[in-house]
Amino acid sequence: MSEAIVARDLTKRFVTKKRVGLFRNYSEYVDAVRGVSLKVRYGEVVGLLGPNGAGKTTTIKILSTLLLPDSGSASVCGFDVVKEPQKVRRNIGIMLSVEKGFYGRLTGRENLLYFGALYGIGKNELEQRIKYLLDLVGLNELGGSDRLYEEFSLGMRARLALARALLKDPPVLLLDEPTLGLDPPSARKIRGLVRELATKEGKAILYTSHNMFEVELVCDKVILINKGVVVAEGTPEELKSRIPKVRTLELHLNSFPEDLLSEIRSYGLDVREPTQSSDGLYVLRILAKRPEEIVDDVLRLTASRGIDVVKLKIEEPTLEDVFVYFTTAEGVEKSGTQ
Amino acid sequence: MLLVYSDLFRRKSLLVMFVAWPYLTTAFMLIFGYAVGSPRVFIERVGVDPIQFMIVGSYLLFSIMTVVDDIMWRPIYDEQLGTLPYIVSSPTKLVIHYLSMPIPRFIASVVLGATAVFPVMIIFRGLEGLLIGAIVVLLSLISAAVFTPLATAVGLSLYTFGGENWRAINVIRPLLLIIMGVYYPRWLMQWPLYIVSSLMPPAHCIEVIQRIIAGLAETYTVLISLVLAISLGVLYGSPMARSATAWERKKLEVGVKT
Repeated sequence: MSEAIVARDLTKRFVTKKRVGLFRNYSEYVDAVRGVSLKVRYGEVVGLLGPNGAGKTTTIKILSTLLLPDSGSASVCGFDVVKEPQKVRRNIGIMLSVEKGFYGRLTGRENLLYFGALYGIGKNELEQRIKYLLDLVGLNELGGSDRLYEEFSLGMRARLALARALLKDPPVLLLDEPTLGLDPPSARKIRGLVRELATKEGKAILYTSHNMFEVELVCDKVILINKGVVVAEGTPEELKSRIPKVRTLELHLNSFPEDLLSEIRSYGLDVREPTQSSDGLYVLRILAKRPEEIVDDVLRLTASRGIDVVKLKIEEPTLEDVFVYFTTAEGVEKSGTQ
Repeated sequence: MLLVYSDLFRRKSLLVMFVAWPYLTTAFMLIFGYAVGSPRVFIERVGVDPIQFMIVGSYLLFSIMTVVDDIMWRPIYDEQLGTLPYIVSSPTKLVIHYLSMPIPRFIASVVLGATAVFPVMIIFRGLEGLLIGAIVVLLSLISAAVFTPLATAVGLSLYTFGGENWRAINVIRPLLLIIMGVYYPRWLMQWPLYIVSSLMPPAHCIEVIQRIIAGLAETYTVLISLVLAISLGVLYGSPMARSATAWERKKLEVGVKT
């Protein structure tokens, strides 16, 4: 697999003018991205994850030629986004917003005709392509072809936006939070399509989202970005293995003597205050790097105190744990040394 | 083009406005005019009945404004709708896109607006009114076409360099109304205003139309006026192209809003 998107040390600073009184202004600077580098190969879905204001959309905008970087370089399909924007534009499909971006008084089909003409697609080819895409995204069966866009549900809007991104049949897709606010069936449809486009058609897809579950399902690789800096990247499994102390031994106990907590802590274990579940059991969580090594000791301790362990499980860290870890102060400090 | 008509014909109120606007503004001008003066004085000074003069003026203003509005407001409209990123990121050049956008609406306004010019002209002039109506429609097409480069240059420059002051665009409409002289015979303008007015390409076409309906048109003045209008239109082509490039550059520097 060769690289479809390559970005090296991208930086972008925004300047906003603030007015003080009637005549005085001062400028505020925000570094939206600070040296972002990334690579996306053909046939790969790469998730760009980060909290609000992390620089995800700024990165997507630079790659889609909608924003000029201050420094650094980026290329899409081998074309430089600053020097050869027209060539880049011919090779990308973008989806930047789910809820808007179309003309309300035109139908789904008419909107696609309009943008297809703008993209320079011939009339006959465009008609066929639109028919295929409306079927692909499931808008035909929802009646979206001949319904006015202003009457579309959010899910239908997202499907139409994805259809537009695919109009040119581009080798690269840049999708900015494509399932934001969607109901589960629509979100599942979009996720399935994205995965298929990468696997079957070999498209390179850069995908931003806040939804960890979704990113884990869809993406081959994840790039975590925070305050304009890439703080971690790798497959979801690799990232999970990089966060310390987040595997959890969870025990459901029928009773919980007051001194049990301090006794467990006396063995040097990181144990949290117990919570009570809906069925009246006490849920105790012990954090450890290798919880399987302490299971026997913990069971011996509870047995000696006459406590029944009703349920026991070891929880693996989730991508959400990874996200929280790398985007909080603790993670940011440690990521610098990794 | 058909898609723009689809959008247009689904807005019934807009269609009603296309037909009614020239009549309403004419009525307003006449009511105001009759309140402060006499139609006889107008006829003596201008050489034509005020109803004919005003209906043609309203029609011209409406046709030209349709183009100006489309050109000046379209970028803001696309930004609000969220369609701008997809237009900017298409291989079509922005300036060509925005110059072609007003064409369908303009044709519709000319056709629908003509429902005001032809009846009034026929009532006042009989069959000759048909010919005059056709000339008015043709010259309004030329007026709008030659005005496009200047309107684009002004509109996009305001968006590029005006910051939040782009709303000054609201001042431009009434200003045009005064400067172009659609409701005022150009040859009776005071000379400073006449010179300023002469810098506006459609003003020359408007003078031709006004002279024709007042019976004051001479072949050479008509030709000179048309040459002037077209030359000015071409002359403003360069600032138009520059303003479009500057606007796109500015958009890319600050980022196209999504």
